[in-house]
Amino acid sequence: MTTNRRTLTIVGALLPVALAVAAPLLAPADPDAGHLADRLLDPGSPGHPLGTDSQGRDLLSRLLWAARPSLTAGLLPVAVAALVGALLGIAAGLGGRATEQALLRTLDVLYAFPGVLLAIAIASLLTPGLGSTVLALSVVLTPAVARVAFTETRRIRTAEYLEAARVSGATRPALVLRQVLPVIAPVVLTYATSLVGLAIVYAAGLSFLGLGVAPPTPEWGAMLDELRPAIFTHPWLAAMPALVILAVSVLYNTLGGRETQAGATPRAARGGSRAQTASRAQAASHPSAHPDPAEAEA
Amino acid sequence: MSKHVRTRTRAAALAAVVLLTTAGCTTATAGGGDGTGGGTLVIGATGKLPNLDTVIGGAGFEGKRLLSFQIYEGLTRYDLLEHTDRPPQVTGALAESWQVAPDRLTWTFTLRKGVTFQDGTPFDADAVLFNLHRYLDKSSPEYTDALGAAAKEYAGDIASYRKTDDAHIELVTTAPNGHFPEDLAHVLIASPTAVRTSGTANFAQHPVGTGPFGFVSQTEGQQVELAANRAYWRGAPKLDRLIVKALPDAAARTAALRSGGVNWIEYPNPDDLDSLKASGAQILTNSYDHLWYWILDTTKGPWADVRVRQAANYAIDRQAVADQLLHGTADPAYQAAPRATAAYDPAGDRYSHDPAKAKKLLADAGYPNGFSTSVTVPTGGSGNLLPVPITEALQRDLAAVGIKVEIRTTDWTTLIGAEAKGKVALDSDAIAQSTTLFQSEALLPLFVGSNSPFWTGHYANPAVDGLISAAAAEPEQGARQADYRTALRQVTEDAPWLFVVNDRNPRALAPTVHGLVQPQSWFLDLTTVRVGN
Repeated sequence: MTTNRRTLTIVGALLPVALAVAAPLLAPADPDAGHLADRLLDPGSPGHPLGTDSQGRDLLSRLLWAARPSLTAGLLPVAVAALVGALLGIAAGLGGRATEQALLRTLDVLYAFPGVLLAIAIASLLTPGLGSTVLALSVVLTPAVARVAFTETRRIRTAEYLEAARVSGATRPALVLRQVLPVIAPVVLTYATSLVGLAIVYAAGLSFLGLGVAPPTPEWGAMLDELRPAIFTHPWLAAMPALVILAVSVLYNTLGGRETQAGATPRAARGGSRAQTASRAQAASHPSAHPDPAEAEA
Repeated sequence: MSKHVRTRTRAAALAAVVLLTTAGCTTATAGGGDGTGGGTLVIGATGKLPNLDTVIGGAGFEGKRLLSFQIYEGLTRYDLLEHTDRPPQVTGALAESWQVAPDRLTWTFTLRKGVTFQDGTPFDADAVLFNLHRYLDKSSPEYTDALGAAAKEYAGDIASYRKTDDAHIELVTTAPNGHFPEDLAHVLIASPTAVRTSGTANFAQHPVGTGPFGFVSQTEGQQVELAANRAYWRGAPKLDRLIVKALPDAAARTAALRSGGVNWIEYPNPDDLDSLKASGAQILTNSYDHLWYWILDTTKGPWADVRVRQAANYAIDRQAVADQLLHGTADPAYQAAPRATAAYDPAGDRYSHDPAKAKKLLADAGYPNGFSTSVTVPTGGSGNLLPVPITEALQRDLAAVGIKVEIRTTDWTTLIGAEAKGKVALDSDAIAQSTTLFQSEALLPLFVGSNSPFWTGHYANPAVDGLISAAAAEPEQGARQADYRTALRQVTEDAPWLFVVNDRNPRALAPTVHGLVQPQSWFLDLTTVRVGN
């Protein structure tokens, strides 16, 4: 990967976050203020470049402010899943047969549910809010990451440098932190990046169903739900939040996909070609479609 | 190869079946099907569909309106065709007439002769006794707890009942109850033969009554199909068939009406009315005894102070909600009594939009900087209009005087289920919902009286309790209204609720639907409706 390309990726990934952070500076109006007399103004109305919602609130301001909870609900679960998934994967990969089976079969149970259904089930058991969305999506995303981490760990389990570390008396935490984590991190992180787009769509889905933040706080999914009834009378207004969700998730998907394809890891050369790293990540994330060689060994 | 051929043949056969079925449907919808020519009315309802076993219901008055009251009748019924300019009167249904003895407790009902249930079973005094046993007598083999609990709302004060001869039933109430005949419109009578045949527990799957429409089939939770009862004692309804579909999403209802999937929708999204009218749909409205309100918990925090409750009532802009958000499908409610009731007095309109007054009342009550509170809001449900958008508008108005409201949404079934146990879903300080006042006077003490089974607001005023029970003792409805008027004036002043709007009951009908009389009521008489060109 060239430096230019990497810069582009980072800028692209940070753009929505920057907009969210700068919402107070960029938003032309208070996102929660509105008059019923100004409701459902079309895009291009004076003072409301993107129009107003069904409460008469400025749509542009709300979309900008909504980036905060919406991106939090999309990015934070991926971070949690990357961390927890990596640790679970390593534990399964380095542990004994019993640990490995217990962890993998538990993850398989979670895997057996369609992701979005599992997220709805978890979120609806909790009090609606940002916290429950993050928790629900973390649970949904963790098994996939854990599988990748497990496969990578299994691959290096018998590597000579690990043996050497063990023989020279490294404690288990030291082994994990110094030897295993640095090796598997690039693959795990690359894979996790590709989950961000999905997580944003899931998060919007939960808030669309009323399981996200409480009104009047704007969130993309909730805004879509709020404007959906206007689809016959003001289709452009109803389309605005949908377009934002689409654009942001496509952006992260593209960036994540590029990372995966490029196998953006300095250590990739050590384990094989970059393409192999990517296909390992993909194969591990779809155990049913691509039988896992590591599992066949076990 | 041969397998391919077989598959293709089967596909063709299937296609033919689908075509034939569709053709059958089209004929029925067009109304030229079986010679009577009344056509098929398909209604998109806003809530879930009721349990079809008589009184169990559970889907609010919408469920009663569209299904329970079409399949069954009580000894009395609302006369929904006579006037549209004032609330409906109660008239005889399975009873022709009634008398109350001087003790004001003993009622004698003369039963209507020649009525049969939809299964051919003749209606008689024994059928009434059978149903009352089923609702009130725990030793009856047909009694269930669900029936007993549901029947209690309207039949709870029946102390004893007996048949004096084949044509007369005597009912004795525990206390004088002037609105007893109204209550009995809700005590529905099922065919004893049908209950015994299907078994009491399965009767909801095979309901049989004496109403204008008989049960044909149901898809649990999705739709119920009824057919005209040709032997109906008031004359057969004009329609051939009546299908009710559950379409809780307003946009889905509008889409269904536009696509012809239904030819009638309850509560279209007010924003869609203009475009529906432009596409030829008929929009019908009329006032009725409806109030969209918040029940404030008068024992919780600042809401315990009457000045705070009055302040909230002065803080909100009802006119904007009614005009802008609901496009005139509702009227602002400035007092407790809904407009379309005899208890309404225009002079009693009290709570104008006056934020300055609200702030002063809050300051007087010791909350110059306002306070934080919470409200549980259903996402839909019978009579609830646009619960979340209305609440968000009120949230802004209240914030402007310093009352910060946290909105907690839940589904209607959860909310109403908790309420039936006297609890507030999500444990908020208030509930947003709608209610009836007066269409069934039996419910009035439950809403404004103290210690009712669903006393979530804990409002208690002995003067109001006294007026309500004094009114109940009065057999003349006109005389009851004076007491109700005084009682509700007191409720308005005590402000245990946030009074918001009175709905005007909008519904959208395809241009092919004719003959609907829209009364000032939650309920409808569908016998005059037909579908055709």
